[in-house]
Amino acid sequence: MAPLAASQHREALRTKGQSVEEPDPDTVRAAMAGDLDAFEALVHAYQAHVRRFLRHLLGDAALAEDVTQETFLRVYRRLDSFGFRSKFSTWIFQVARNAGVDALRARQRRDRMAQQLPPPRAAPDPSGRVEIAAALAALTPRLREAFVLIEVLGLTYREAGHAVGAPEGTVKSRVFRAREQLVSWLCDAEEEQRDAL
Amino acid sequence: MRCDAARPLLSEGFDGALAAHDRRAVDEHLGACADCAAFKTGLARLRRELRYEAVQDVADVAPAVLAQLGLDSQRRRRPGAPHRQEPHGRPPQERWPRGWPPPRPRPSQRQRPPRRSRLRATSAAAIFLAAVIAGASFAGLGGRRASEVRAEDLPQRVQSAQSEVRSLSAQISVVERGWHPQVPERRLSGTLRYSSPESLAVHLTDHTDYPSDQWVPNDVAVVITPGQRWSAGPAACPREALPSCMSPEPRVESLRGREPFPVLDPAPLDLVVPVRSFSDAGPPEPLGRRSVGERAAVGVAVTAAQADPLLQGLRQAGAWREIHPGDRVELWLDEQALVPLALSVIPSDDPERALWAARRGYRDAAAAPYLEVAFEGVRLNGEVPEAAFPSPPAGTAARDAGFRAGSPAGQLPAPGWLPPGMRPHMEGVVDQGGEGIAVAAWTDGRAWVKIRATEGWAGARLFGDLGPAPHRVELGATGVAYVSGRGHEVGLHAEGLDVVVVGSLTEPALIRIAASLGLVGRPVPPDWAEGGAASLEAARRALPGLLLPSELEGFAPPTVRIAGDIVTLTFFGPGSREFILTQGPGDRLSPPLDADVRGVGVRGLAGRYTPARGELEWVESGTVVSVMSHTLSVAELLAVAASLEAG
Repeated sequence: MAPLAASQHREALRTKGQSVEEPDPDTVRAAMAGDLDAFEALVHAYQAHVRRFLRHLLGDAALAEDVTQETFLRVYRRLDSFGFRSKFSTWIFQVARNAGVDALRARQRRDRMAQQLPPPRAAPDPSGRVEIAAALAALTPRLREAFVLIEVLGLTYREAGHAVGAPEGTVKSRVFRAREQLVSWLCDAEEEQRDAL
Repeated sequence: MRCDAARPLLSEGFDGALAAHDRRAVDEHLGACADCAAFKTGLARLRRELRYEAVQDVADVAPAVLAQLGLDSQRRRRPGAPHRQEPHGRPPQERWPRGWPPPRPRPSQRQRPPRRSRLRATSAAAIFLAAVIAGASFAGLGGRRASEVRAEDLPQRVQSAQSEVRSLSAQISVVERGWHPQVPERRLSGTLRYSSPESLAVHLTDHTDYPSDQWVPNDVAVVITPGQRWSAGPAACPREALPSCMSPEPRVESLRGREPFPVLDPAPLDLVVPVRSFSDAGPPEPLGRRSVGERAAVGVAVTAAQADPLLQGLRQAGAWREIHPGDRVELWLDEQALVPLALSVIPSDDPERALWAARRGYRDAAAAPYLEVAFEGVRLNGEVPEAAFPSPPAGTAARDAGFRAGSPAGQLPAPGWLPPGMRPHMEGVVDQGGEGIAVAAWTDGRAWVKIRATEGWAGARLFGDLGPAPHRVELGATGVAYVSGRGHEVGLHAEGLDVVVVGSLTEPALIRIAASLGLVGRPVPPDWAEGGAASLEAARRALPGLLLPSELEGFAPPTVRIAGDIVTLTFFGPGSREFILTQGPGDRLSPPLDADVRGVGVRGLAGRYTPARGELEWVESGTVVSVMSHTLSVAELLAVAASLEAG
């Protein structure tokens, strides 16, 4: 019997990080027609994804909470303009991303310093999450939004491209650049930690 | 290949499949370039920490959004939106939104207004299924991991269940294919009766036209009542020797002195609401909704291993064909009561499965169900007469399991806490010679919990069948408890008393009950089997570069054992899905123990697979690695192997 190749059967095991799912088009249509139950179902279906995206994009849980609300307010008001031209899930991320960018701009107006954040000096944290959050915060918003959509939410390059309004290839290279910077910062942080010990 | 070409490809490889030639080139480069290998480790770390972060239970934004839109609970329409016709003339608030189920619900349904919860939480399975039907995934994207579903609030939801299946009666029909070449198809029909908490009667009559009188029809009866269990049916005999090996006399087995809710028997509950098949489940594949008979049903696809408690429960007596644990089970459950309405078992197209069938002489047609069960005329919570649970045939010698109802002596600690609604069911002592085991059981009608305690435990391993790899839980002031891999048993090794708490409740509820017994659990002595129970941290220290699956869904965090420099991790999934990952230093595999051993490519290396043991082994960077399972297919083992990363 021929040896079995692992890659052939990769799909046999359900793995995490599957793509964000599409809603039933009927639910979207019902919501567009004013069915509040359907709209609420959509909120329930996507709020966790949106909140997660915004938390990483904004690096601020409380702000992310507000912008999540704002996102769904915008979704409701703009449902008419959705029109099934793209996937509903990527359309929601597009709305969330725009709401997030608006929030970032508002914060930057308040605090000009935010543009010039230095690369992070990571706090020693065994879980590494604090370090990663700090490193994420130091990426430019363009790299960060692409990276979060791909890495955290598991979108495809194409879907993320729709959400941020950039071609697939651009998303791919932004994600790569984000990863390069994050990995090098995290390695530096670890070295510093080792040196400190 | 140079680093600046390899790294973008490495990044791309984390987001989807690379073309084969790119993958080979990258792998080759990785073997020679430590910097890029470190880069890959960094990427894996990002993936691990970002994609699989713990999910927090956060507030639902929907009420706030609706409030800000000026839309109160009166459900006013969007300004300017046209009125929609109600197809069935029912008021809109009594139905789900059109297109329900939505793709994924938000993680917790707790804050939903009650009037919208048509699918009431009737049990752990109900909670789980409510999410499944919605196409939810408990893991991955913003979903919840199986262990997180069993958060503290779940027992409350289980206990506050509004509807209970107190009794059930149904006609069952069974079609089985491929049992024997001369008998390609068998058809059986009969009845199922259940009365809570633990009475069950399954009677099946075989209507098959057999080629000759030598063949004995597979007429079976299984009757379970408190304290007793009996079954009758033809004894199984080797397939090659059929039909001459069949005895015309049915084999009748009878057991008295049966303690309440024995763990090893298929539980009546598993036949009625398949709790154990789903309590630890990852996201099974939703099949949608349809009508089965008169009832609205929701479907899920699981593996036969996951549905094992249900399948075994149906086939407790009689002669049946074997079911491959990796096969697909399509299960349709009543949308509201979550009792099974139909199931079919379909062969998987795994190459190992084909071998399994060939060894047994089964010729299963691809994608064709070989076992189909339908439950018809399902009646819930009606009267089930006593006569539905008959006594064993006269003259049957009963084996005594030693349980005697009565008041157990002082050795049984009383729980300070039980979930609301739990009432005493039975108590007594199991006398197996020597020190007795005190037993007390409680039930709320359907869910159950039982405490067993003994003073005379001789040791060597924990009292109470906690399985191969329990993990240690710190309870604070009440010391240390051990929890079985599947989370259905919690053991305490206290001063002079060994106790196990077992039940159909969630792991946190069982732990809470154990912690309320007024005992202080001590760590087991190091020479007991569980003495090697350790944490993942300790395992990483014991074996630097320990490999861990990076993309695994539907399995609880592993239990860990360390013996010297050999680390054994056991991963438990729903039903009987489980696998064991063993790693230890070494540069070659031990000589094969079995004749049937095949070479396989594992992670780009030469490995071997031993079908009889379900074991995949290879050597990697000075470590001998083995992944073993009797309930995962070789394809799944290879996928587990491929996903391993140094953690």
